Amino acid sequence: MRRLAVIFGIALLSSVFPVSPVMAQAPADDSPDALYASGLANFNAGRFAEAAAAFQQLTSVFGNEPSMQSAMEGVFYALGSAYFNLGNYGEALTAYDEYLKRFPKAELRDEVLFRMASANFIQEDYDGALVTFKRVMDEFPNSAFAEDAAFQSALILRIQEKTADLMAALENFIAAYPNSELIPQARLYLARGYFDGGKLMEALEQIEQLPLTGNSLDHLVYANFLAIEIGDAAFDETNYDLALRAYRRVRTRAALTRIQTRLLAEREAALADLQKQRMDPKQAAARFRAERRLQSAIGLAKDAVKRLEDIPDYDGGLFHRIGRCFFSVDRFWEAIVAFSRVQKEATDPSIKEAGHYDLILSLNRLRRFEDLVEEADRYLAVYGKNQTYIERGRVPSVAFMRAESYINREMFEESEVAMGELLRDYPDHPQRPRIMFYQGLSQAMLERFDDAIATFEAWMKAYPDNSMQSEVLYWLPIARFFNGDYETALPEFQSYASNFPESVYAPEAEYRVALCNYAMENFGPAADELLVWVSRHKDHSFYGEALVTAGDALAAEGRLEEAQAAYLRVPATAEPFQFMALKQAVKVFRALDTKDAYLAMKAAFERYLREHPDSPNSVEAAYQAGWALRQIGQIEDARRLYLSVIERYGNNRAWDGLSPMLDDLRKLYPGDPEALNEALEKLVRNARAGNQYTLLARLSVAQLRWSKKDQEAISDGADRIASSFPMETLDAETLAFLGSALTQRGEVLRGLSYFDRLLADFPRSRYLDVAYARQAEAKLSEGDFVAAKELADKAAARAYEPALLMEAVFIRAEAERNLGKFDAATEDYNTALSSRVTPRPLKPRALLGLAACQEAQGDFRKAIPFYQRIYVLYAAYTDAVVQAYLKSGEAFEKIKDKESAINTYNEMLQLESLSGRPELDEARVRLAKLET
Amino acid sequence: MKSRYSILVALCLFPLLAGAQTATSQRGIGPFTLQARNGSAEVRLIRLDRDMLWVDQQSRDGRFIEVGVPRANIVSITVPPMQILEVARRASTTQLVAQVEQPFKRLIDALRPYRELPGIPFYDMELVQGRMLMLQNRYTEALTAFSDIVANAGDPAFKQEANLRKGLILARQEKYDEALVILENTDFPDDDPVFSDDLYAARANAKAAVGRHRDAISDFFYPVVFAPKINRAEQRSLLAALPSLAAMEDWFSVARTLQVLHTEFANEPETAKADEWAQQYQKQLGIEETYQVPGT
Repeated sequence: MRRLAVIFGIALLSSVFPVSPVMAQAPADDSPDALYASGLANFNAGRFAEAAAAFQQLTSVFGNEPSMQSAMEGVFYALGSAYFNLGNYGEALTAYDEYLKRFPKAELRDEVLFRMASANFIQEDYDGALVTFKRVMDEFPNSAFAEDAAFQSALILRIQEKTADLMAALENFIAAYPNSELIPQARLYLARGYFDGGKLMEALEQIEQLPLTGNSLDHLVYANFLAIEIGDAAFDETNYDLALRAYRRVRTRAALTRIQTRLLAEREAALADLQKQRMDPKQAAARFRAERRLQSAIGLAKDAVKRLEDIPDYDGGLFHRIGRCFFSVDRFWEAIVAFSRVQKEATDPSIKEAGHYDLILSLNRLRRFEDLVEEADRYLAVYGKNQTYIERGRVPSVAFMRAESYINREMFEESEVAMGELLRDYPDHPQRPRIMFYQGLSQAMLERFDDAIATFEAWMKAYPDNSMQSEVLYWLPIARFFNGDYETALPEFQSYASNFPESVYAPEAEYRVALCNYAMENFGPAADELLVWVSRHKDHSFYGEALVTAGDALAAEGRLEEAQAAYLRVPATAEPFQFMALKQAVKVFRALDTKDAYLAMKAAFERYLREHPDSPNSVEAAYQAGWALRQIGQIEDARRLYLSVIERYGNNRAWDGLSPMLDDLRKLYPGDPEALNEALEKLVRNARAGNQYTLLARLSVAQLRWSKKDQEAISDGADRIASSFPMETLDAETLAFLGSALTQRGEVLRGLSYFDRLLADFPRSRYLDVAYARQAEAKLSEGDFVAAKELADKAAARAYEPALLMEAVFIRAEAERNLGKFDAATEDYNTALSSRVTPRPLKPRALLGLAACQEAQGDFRKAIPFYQRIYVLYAAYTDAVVQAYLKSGEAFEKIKDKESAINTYNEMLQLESLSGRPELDEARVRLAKLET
Repeated sequence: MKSRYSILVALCLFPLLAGAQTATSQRGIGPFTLQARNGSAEVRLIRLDRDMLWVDQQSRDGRFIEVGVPRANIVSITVPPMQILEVARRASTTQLVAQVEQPFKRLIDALRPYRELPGIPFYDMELVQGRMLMLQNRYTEALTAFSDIVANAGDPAFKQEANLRKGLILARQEKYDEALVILENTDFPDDDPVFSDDLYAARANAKAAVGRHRDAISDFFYPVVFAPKINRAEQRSLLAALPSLAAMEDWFSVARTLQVLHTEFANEPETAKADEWAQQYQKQLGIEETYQVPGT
């Protein structure tokens, strides 16, 4: 700057005094030419003191010479500039003042005034500077210095903390010089002024008008810091939207440092370029201003870089602030993104921890419980043992959120463990009552009702005045109810309903009172309570269920019409309870056995069909309606209904229930098989025309079942059907039928493939039991008893028909016996034996199994009666009988009862039903051996 | 004799391995400053013949002499700032690209034989060319350029940008799995916020398209949080995130996002599109009080 200023002065002087380029030292004499040449040379060489001395002598000696006045204009300017450059502002001001007085029309008055004001400014004579800058603006409004004078005036007002004047000055500046390079700085100071005056929005609006790109970025770092201050203030005022606006103007430290470094390099290069350039005297003032601005910008940039370096974890803190704002305005995904970045980039451990904690809070608010558990595990791995965070309650809080997540995900095994750990690890946890409640709740949900009851009872003792009491008072009788303790639960439910009538659980508590009565077979009170309950809670989710239970209670009381009415009140919106109610109602209709009852039954199921045209229950509903029609003799109507339903739904592979309908259809043609065949043929023709393979297969199976053929012929028929239809076109029932038929036919693998398909395509079918039972049988044959037992368990658990349940129980007994689990096997064999629905061929086999269990445990004496029961009770089953005789004889031999053994073999040999069996040879050999 | 002298001068600068000849006019590409182990000179590149670079070097008398320089002896080639490269670099519209495209391509093709010589800014130029092709939606050509850079460029910065741009193109071509191989687990450059915004959008869309909605959400919202004004990221990304939020059945966030669009961007096209989209979820949004489906 100094150099530029001097050059300008010298350039002017050179037009007055001829200059010798070699003069650069002290004057050889004191002539005006010599003094001038000396001043100029020293000035050019940067020796401003010597230059000032020469110019001072020149003005002192010749300053009043009339002939030199025109030249003195430049000399006084140069003298002032030399002193200015020396930082000797007092003398500079004197010289400039003389210049102004002597040369009222001088060309450089605006610059000299600006320099004088600048000197005042530097000397902290702010009032003097303001007055002089104002003169520049007033006297030279079009001067290039007026813009800088206006800006510098604002800077002084800022220093003087004259806020009102400052704001006016800056606003005037922005209005007067909208294209000024100084606008960003002016806006920044304006923003700071607004901020200091508490006008956050206005402050932010100024910052938002600052350019984000381009060359004029000197303000950037300060704008960033101010934006953070605005954000913090807005956050404290809970104005989160404004805080977010402010924070999101802020750039990361890396971005700012990159920009500032580039800026600094550019400014320094520009300054160096400027200083290298030869000066055009006409541009001197502009250069002076440019130089001052560049130096100011370089200072700012250096200071900004240093400030950035000095702030600890600038970015982490910023991201965390942003996250907190988003969290506070319920924009949780945005908060998660921000907090995740804190996790990734923060270097300050406390900010990192805070970000992690808030991330978990955000996940909790979003109910992202799976993610929460993962994050909580990470958090606890890092901070779980940190005493500071434990004492601050943050670790216990995270551990609680983690445990509560399991409750929310209905992972009660995990929640029970986690709650137990919380109670153990944090005895003073502020959420302890809730934790204990959750522990009891988890136990209840795990059907560990005794534990749950104990926990809830302990809770009641520990926290009798806690606000969660109503929760526990509800869940305690619930646990008792499901534990079968209706007697204790009932008054507790009554008490709850009475004490907490406004609670969300109150209606359910009243409902449970009725259910307790129902469970205790107090059907009358139960029915009455339920009818009152449904009249008061029409919108409750238990409404349908309550009506069904009311119907059941009324039916049990013999109040059949009322029961019927209750069942039929279940609305369509209460599905699946509506269909359940109708099925219960069927029992009532049948019990009533009146035409009206059957008409009502028909109407009820027809209504169901209308209300649920696409329900999987449609087939069964139609069957019930048709059945009712048949009872009241409306045969034609029943036929039409069945035929239309079969045609409409019969090709729907996913729906079951066609077989009972087809069987009932058959009954609608008593003594008229031709009419039935005609009806079926029509169905077949239409199905063929429509490529309805599922329906065609169903009709084929029905006709095969109806044919009075022997087992072999049926087996062959099943083989033909199986060969005719691709497996993927068959419904569950057909798959089960063909699978069974093929396995019984000896084509075990082929048959099992039908069950595999059934299990894959119809995982909720009612025919799963058949599939599992047949698979279990196959495994039993293979000797894989573990798999056989598992499959038999599944078959028993899903058994739809009692006979199949017994079959499954028998297979399981066989598997258990082979696995050495004789007690379990004995129990299952006895179950199969005692049931009337057990297929009879299985019973002698069960007896063989029971005997084998005894023998396996070394008790041959106890085995013998089971064998004897076989040839006494099940003589027709010769395979079992022949084995029973041989085993029985062998058992007698084992217990050394030779006579009984001989009698047993003789009896066996004499039985006509066993003649020709190869086992007789074995009996003869043993007999001979015994007799010798 | 004069010609011989010129050759001797050249010999001083470069170990000449092959015969030299005079050139009567400017040819090849240059002038560049060639720094060899034993000196430097202003040259024009003529051809690269295996391990020998042939250049025209201007002699003191102004004539051009063709000399050969073994590649092993080349320290660097300094290419002066090329105005066309800077114009191409700044070409941000298809019109501007159209103006510079052909001359720029000719320059790249001219430099292609010398691409591996130290200091030749070939890959920088190829990267700029790829960007211009992307701007014109000429994705196949752009992919070729970027793949070349990824495979051959020495500067890791060029490789990284080219690779990311490949990912961006693959995502735009709906080759989501391939795109994710590149874009997955990668930090995007924060010194180019516009490019970074494109990358976040591309990765989010790719993840959403392959059903990874939870991961997609993070990428959709990243620009919303940190660079909301770049490319109108906030309103654009909020709209784009809605299907993923719905796929996760996060109806609270769907409703809140719609509410933000209405509050902050009431008259923006994204808000209208979001409302149209929301019609299909009236039932689910009905339970969220923060947003009411318009017209219901």
